[in-house]
Amino acid sequence: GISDGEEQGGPGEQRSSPTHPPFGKKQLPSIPKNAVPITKAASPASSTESANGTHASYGPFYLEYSLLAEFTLVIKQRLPGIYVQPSYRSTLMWFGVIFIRHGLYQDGVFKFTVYIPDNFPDGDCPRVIFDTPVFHPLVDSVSGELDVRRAFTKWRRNHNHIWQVLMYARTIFYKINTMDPLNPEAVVLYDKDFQLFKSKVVDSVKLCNSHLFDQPKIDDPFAISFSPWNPAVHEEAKDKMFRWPEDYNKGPLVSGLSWVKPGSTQPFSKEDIPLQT
Amino acid sequence: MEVMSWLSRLNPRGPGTRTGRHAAPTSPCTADPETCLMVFENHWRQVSRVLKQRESSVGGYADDLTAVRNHTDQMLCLLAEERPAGGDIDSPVGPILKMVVAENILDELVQWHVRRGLDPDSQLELLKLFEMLIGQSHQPLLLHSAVLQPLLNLLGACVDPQLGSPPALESSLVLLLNQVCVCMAKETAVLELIFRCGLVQQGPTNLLIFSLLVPFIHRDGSLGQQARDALLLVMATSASNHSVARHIAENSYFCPVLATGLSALYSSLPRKIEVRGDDWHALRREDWMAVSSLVLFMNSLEFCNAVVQVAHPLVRCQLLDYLHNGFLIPVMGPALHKSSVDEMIASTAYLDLFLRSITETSLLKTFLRFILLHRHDNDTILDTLLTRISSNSRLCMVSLSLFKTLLSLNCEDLMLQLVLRYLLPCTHVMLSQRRAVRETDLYGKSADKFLSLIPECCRITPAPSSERDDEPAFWGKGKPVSDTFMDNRLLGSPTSESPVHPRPSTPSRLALFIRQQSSGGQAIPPSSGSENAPSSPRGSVSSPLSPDSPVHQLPDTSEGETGYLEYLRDARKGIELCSWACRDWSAPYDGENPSPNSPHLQHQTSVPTSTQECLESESQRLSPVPALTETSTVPCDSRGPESVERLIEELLERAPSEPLTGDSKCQGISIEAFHQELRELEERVRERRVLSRSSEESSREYRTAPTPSLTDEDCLPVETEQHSSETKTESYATGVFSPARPLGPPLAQPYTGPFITVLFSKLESMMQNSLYVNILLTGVVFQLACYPQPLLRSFLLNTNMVFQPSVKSLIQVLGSVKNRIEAFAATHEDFPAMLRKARRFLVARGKLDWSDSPMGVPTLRRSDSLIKSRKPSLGDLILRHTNSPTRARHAAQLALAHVRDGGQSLHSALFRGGAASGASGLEKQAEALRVKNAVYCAVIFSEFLKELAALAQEHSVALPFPPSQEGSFSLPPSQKKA
Repeated sequence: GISDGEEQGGPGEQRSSPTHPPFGKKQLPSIPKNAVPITKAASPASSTESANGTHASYGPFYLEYSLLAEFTLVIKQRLPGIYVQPSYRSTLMWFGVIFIRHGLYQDGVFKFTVYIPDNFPDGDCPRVIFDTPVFHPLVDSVSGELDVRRAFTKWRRNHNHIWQVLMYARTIFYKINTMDPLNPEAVVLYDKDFQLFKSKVVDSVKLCNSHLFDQPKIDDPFAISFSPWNPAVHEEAKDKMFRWPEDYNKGPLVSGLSWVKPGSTQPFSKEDIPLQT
Repeated sequence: MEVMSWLSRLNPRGPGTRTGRHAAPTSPCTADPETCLMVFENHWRQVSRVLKQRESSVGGYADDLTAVRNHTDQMLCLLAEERPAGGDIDSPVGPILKMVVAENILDELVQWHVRRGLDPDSQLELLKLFEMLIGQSHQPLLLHSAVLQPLLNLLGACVDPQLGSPPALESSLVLLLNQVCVCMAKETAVLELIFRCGLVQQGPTNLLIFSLLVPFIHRDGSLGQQARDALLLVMATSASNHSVARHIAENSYFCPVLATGLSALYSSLPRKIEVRGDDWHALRREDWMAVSSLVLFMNSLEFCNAVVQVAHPLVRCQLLDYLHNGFLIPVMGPALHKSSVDEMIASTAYLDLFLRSITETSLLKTFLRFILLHRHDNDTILDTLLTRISSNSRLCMVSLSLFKTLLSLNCEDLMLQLVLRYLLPCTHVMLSQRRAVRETDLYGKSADKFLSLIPECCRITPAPSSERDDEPAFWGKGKPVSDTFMDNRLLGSPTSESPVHPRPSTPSRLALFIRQQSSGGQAIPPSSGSENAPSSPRGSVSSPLSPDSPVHQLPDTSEGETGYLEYLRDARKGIELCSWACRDWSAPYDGENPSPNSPHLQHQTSVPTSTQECLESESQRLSPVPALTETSTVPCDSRGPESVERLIEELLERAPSEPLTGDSKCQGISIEAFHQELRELEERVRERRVLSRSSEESSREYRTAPTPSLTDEDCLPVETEQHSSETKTESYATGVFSPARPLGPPLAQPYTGPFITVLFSKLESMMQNSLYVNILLTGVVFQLACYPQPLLRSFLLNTNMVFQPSVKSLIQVLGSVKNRIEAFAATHEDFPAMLRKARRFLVARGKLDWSDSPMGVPTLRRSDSLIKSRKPSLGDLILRHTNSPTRARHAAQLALAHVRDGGQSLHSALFRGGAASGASGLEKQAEALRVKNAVYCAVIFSEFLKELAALAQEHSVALPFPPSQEGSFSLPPSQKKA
C-alpha cells in the first residue's frame, strides 16, 4: 500500500505542517537578485544549445523522467490517504483520489485529476480538478477546479514538487481558508451560518461518494475506478500487493551481504551468531 | 548377473508352490519367501560345517574357501533379494534377515575370514559382496548391528590405519562406503548406530566409515566424486546430530584434510595461464575444464562449498577456520604477492574464479575477510589487488575482472573498505552541499551533462555511399519515422500551449511499442492496466511510468539516441538488482547515517563552529520544504573589497587545467552550482576574517588535536589555499587502508580512496588503453554507479555537486577524455571512417559473444550476472541495436577467424590507412596501435556516457527496497570465535 492507512488526527496534521505555512511567499528565503535572471536565462540558452548538440534527441527523456521522478517522490512521501496514478496516455495527466478521515469532510472520497503543464518544471503550477465539484471555499463549484495557484504563486523547479500540490489538496479539507475564495457562497455560509455550511458539506460528501462507483470521467486504462468489493477479483490483487514479485526472491542474491554492525563503520563488526558447543 | 541366473533357476518352482500366505504384492520374479529361506538355511548349514571344521582341524584351505565363497554368494544374494515381510508393521523383517540376525551369520562369516587371514583377493570379494548386499537390499539392513558390525569389522580388517587401503581395493571400498552413506541418508538412524558401533569397536578415535572416506576427498575422477558424494551425505545426515558433528570436528581429520588438500592442489596449478585472445581476462568454465589440475582444485572447492552448505555449524566453522588459516593465508596470500607478472595474472584470475564459484555466504565471508583484512607484508590483499588496476594491459584486465566480481557481490563490508569510508566524512563536498548528497537528478540535468560530453566527432554520420554496402544497419540512418506515431504534446515541446486534455492516439502508440520491442532485444510483454507490476517490485502504483510501459515510448528522433532506451533499461535493471541486494545493509550511506562525524572514522569534527553552519541550520529551519539545496544568502554588499580578489583566485585555481574548447566552456559547473560556490566562498572569506581574529586559539586547538584529522574546508584557515593548487595525485601513494589508521593522507586532504583514484586515472588514460581494458573499465564504473547509496551515487553521477578543489570528479575526468578525443579526431581526417570500422568490428565481436553458449560460467550461483563479466556489455548493446541480423551474422563470420587469433589481423586490416606514412616499421606499428586504441576509445567513450546518463536518470526514479523480514538472521554464522 502507499500510505500507512489510518492517520490519527494529530500526527497527520503534524506531518502536513511543514508543507502548509511555507506556501506563503513571505517565508520563502529570498533569492539573490542577480541569480534569478541568470537562472532564467539559462534554460532557454541550454535548450537552444542542446537543440543543436548531439544530445538534442534525448530531450524527450528528460520530461518523461522528470515526471517519473516526481511520481517517485510522491511514493516516497507516503502521503496519508492520497493515491495517484499517471494516465496511460499521457504522463502529464495523473488520476488521483483523496480519502478524508476526519474533520468536516470526514468519510469523503474525492476523485480528482492533476494536469501538469507540458513545459514542466518551468511552467505554471499543475492544476487539480475534482471529478465532482466539492462544496469548499477553494473549489470552483462549476468546474471543480481547486485553487492551487494561491499556494504556488510561482512554480519553482527544485523547490516545488507535485507531492506538495497533492498534500495541499488534502490540507484544504482539514484547514478551511476563506480568503479570496473560488466559491464565495461557501465562505458566506462558513462565516455567517456554520451549521448550514456543515450540512452542505455533508451533502457534498454524500454526493461525491454516491458517484464513487461511476465510470471514470476520462476514458483511460489507468483511470481510477472503484467497484464494490468482490473477493474473486480483489482478493488476489490484494494478495499480490503484499508479496514480492517472485523474480526478486530468486534473484542472484537472496539478500545482500553485510556483516557490518549497525552504527559501526568497520567491516565484519557484526557479532556472529554464537555456537552451541 | 549371478543373481539373475540364480533366480531363473529358482523361479520355476516359485510361483507354483506359493501358498498365498502373504497377501502383500510381491514382484513376480521373486520367489516364495519360505522357499528362499529354505534354500538359505541349506547354504548356511553347509557353510557352518566348514566354519566349524576349520575350528577343529587344519587343512583343505583352498577347497574350504571356494565352498564358503560359493555358499556365501548364494546366501547374500538371497538376503539382498528378500523383501520385508508385508503386513507386520512392527517388525517388517523378512525371514532370512531374521535368521541372519538371530544366528549372527554375517559376523561368523567375517570372523572366519579374518581368522584365517584375509588375502587381497578375498578382501575384494567380500567388499564387493557387501556392496551388492547394501546396494540392492530391499530392507534397511544396516539398522541391524548383526549386519553393520561385521561390515565394520571387515572394513577394519581391509584398511591399515596407517597405510590406508591397498590400491587394488580402493574402488570397491569407496563404492561400498558410498552405498553405506546412501543408506545412512535414507535411514538417519543408521548414522547413530554406526557412530555407536564405532565407539565400541575403535574407541572414540574413529567414525570408521567417515575416516576411510577422507583420504579420497581430493581424488581425481569418479572415485573422488563418489567419496565426496558419500562424505557430503554424512555431512548432511549429521547436520542435526550434535555428537556426530562434534566427533567429526574433534576426532577426524576431515576439515584439515579438506583445507590443506586445497593448498596442495593450489600449488599444482599452472603458474602461468596460456592465453589465446587479447581479450582474455577471466577464467571461464571452458578455460579451466581443459586444465586437469584446475578441474581437481575446482572439484574440491566445490566440495568445500557443499560441505559448508550442508554440514553442522560446528563442522562448518571448523572448515572455514582451516580454509582461512590453512589455505587462504599461507597459500593464496603469497601467491597473490608473487613478483612475476605471469604469476600475478594467474593468481588474480584464480581468485576471481574462486569467488565466482562460491555460493555459500559463509564461505564467501571467509574469502572476503581474507581479502579485506588480511595483511601480507603490511598491505591488505585488497590494497595489493587495487594497485594492479593501474598496471599494464593483461594484469589490469584480470584485476578489473576481479573487481567486477567483487562489486557484483553487493557486499557492504567490501564497499565500505573500497569506497564508502572515504566518502563518509563528506569532506569531499563543499559543506553547503552536504545536504545535496541525497538529492537525485530530478530534471535530467546530470544526464544532460553526461550526454553533452559525447564528442562532436563521434556523432554518427551516414557513411559515404561507397562504404554503405557492407555497413551493418545498426547505427545507420534513423529508422523511418512516421510522425503520426508521435505525440509531441506528451513529450513536451516547451513552446506548445499547455493542454489540459491531451489527445491520445492509442493504436499508433501500440504499434510503436511493438516495433520498439522487436528492435530492442528481449521482448517484454506489453503491460496493461492493473497487472503490469512485474517490472517493479514496489507495487503497481509505480509501474505505469516504467520503461516497459507504453507511456514511455518515445519517438526515435535521430541516430544519436540509438539504443538509449536500452541503456535506460539496463540501468534500471542494474540499479534495481543492486538496491535489492543492498536492502539489508546496516546504513543508507546518505551523508547522515552513518554520521560524517562518526568516531569510527576518526574524523575530527570542525573545530570552530562556523558562522556558515549557523546560517545553514538557520536557513534549514526557514526553508519551506525539506531537502532544498538553497542556502541562505549573504547580501552582496556585505562583502569586503579584499574578498573579491580571493574569490577570483580560488575560482581560477579550481578551473580545469585542460584548455576548454569553444562549445564546452561552462562544463562541469552549472549556473546554480556556480552561485552556490560563489556564496560559499563569500562565507569562507568572512569566516577567515573571523578566524584570523581568534587565530591564536583555534590554531592551537587544531594542532593539539589527538589524531591527524580530516578537516572541513571551513576550519582550515590557511592550509586550504596551499593545497588547492597542486595536490591531488600524490594522495594515492600515501593512501592508507587500515581501519585502525586515519583515513587518507594526513593533514586532511579530502581523499576519495585508492579505488576511485585508480579507476579515475585509468579512465583518464582511456585514449591509450586497449579496447578490452576500456570495456572492462567502463563496466566496472557502471557497476559502481549502480549502487544506490547517496554518497556514492552523488559522487559519481551528480554533476551539479561542487567538490573540494582537490577532489577530482568523474565529470572532470570524462571532460578531459572528451577533449583528447576531439583533439585526436581533429588531426586525423579519416577519423569518421575509422570510427565506422571500429563500430563494425564491435558489432561483429558482440555477435560472437552473443552466440557463445551461456555455459561458460560456473553454474553455482551468480551465473547470470557473471557471464557478463566476460561479455563486453557495450559490445552487446551495440549489437542489440542491429536492425539486420543477417548482416550482423555475416560480419560476425568475417570477424570470427580474426578474433580467434587475437583479432590482430582484423585490427591491422581496419587501421592500415591510419598510420603515418614514411615512418619506420616499428614507429608505424606503434602509431597504428595508438590510432587503434584512440578510435576504439571514441566508440566506447560515447556509449559509456549514454550509460552514465541513463544511470543518472534511473537513479532519480528508483525507490529503495525495505529491508527483508529476516534481515540478518538469514546470514549463517561462519567464523568460530576462538
